[in-house]
Amino acid sequence: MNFEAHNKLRIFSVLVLSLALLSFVAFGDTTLAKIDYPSSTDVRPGYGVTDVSWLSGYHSSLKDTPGDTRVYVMEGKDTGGSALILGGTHANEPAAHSAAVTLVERGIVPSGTVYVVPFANNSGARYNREEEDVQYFTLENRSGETRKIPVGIRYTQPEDQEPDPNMFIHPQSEYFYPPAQSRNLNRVHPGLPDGNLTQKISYALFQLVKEEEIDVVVDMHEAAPWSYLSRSLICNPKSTAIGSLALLNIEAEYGFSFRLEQSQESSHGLSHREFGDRTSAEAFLIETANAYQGDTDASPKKDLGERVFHQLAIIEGILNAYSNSQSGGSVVKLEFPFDLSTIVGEDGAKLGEKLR
Amino acid sequence: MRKMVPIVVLSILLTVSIFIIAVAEDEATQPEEVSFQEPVTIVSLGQSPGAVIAKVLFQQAGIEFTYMEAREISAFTENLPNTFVPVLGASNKGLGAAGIKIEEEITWGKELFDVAKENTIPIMVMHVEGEARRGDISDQLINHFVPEADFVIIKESADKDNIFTNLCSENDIPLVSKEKGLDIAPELKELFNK
Ligand SMILES: [Zn+2]
Repeated sequence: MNFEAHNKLRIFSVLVLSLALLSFVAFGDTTLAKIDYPSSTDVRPGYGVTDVSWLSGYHSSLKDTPGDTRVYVMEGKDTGGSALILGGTHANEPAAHSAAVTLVERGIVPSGTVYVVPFANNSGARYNREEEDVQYFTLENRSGETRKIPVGIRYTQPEDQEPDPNMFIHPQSEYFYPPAQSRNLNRVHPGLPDGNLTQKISYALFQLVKEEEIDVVVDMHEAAPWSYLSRSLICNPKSTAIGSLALLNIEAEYGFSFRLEQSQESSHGLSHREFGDRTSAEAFLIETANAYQGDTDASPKKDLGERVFHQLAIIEGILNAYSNSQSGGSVVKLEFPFDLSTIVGEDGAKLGEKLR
Repeated sequence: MRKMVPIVVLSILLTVSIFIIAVAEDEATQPEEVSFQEPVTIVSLGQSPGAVIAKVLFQQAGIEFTYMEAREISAFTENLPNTFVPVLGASNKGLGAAGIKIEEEITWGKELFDVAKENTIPIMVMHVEGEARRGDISDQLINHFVPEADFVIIKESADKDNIFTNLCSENDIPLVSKEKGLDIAPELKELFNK
């Protein structure tokens, strides 16, 4: 490198540094700045995971965006059917992504393939802009390490997407939603390849379902305990028989009851409606009861073990009911090396013990 | 030997009375002695997914049934079943609540009940969603149709306020109440002699 080139490099470095400084000053709190990469969360894949990929593998324009997210593939020894399990569609519903993380870390799939996306809207999980002191909660694993579980927001971070329109029109149904719903992953399905970031995430999930010929989609959510959605399993109309068999078996085996509900005609952009209507997959949405959503003074960890137990038991129940309904080889089996009910305990302590 | 006679008589009397009590108790707690015939027509009154759950239970019990979704009386009259199973349940709020007009549900239910009664088709009313499907609208259906039933099957948690127990005892209708939904399937098997 000659002197002139060296000098140019120095000038360039100074420029870059001052730019960086400037941007830091301009944005102050760096967490509020738009980022051009997906954030990552501590997930420790267990024996069941056979491959880890990116959602952008199904739609390349998600690459290098805060909407890209990890896809954990759990392929069984025996071929069979396939399922897609979504956590973190709404990142403020932590039993959903906690259950997905537990599945990735401890689940075993003897037959068929299970795809798990623990943070479906990774932008929403990036940080909690609404409550500074609730960015995450911690669980202690068996080796005494602290595991952080993020508590994000319901929507894509506004700075990660163009400004909200005056009215969000769900393009496939031309149904009108309030502006912020353009950042709600569970209102924009089936997405658009060249739409806003949230629509691209949705589009990528639909590509995954089509390319991997997914048989069952389960989208995990939570609702305030007083909400009419709390403790329900919402099924696409074509999937109600599988859903009711799952709930009947769970009630008999584990002794808890959830309400069976059915997607309405007006459920435009919601996963249970759109995945079921637009793909060959059976589509379900689970809603556990989360006190934090009804009252932000409550801890997001309240009854976490029970909430995650409900999520995982229902997923297991759906996959069993689906497999039993198949005369051919479309079996998807999911197992855990412990009785699921043993994760019930105060504030998720027992759940922490199961994490890696 | 003489002393033995009263003892023998006494023990015979005791055995007989125990037997009578046992039979009487058996009759009181065993409404299953009623029996129903296939095929069954399942109809939802209130449009909750309870009818889908009932469908799954009949399937599990191996009983032949039709699930009638059409809301024309001809669909019922043209294909009269041997047992009519209206499944009660409506949403008070949220999913499905918007589409329900309770008066229409009651009118529709009455039409079906009338046809069933004219044709002496036994009516087995079901409510299989427990306390999760109670509330104003469901209760209107319950108050209206349970007294018209020949037999009632419910999931126990729906009866915490004894609404079913009271309506059934007032109207002398056998009531079967199960703690877990899945336990209704073997009950159906017995009722249909499967
Ligand atoms: Zn949600």
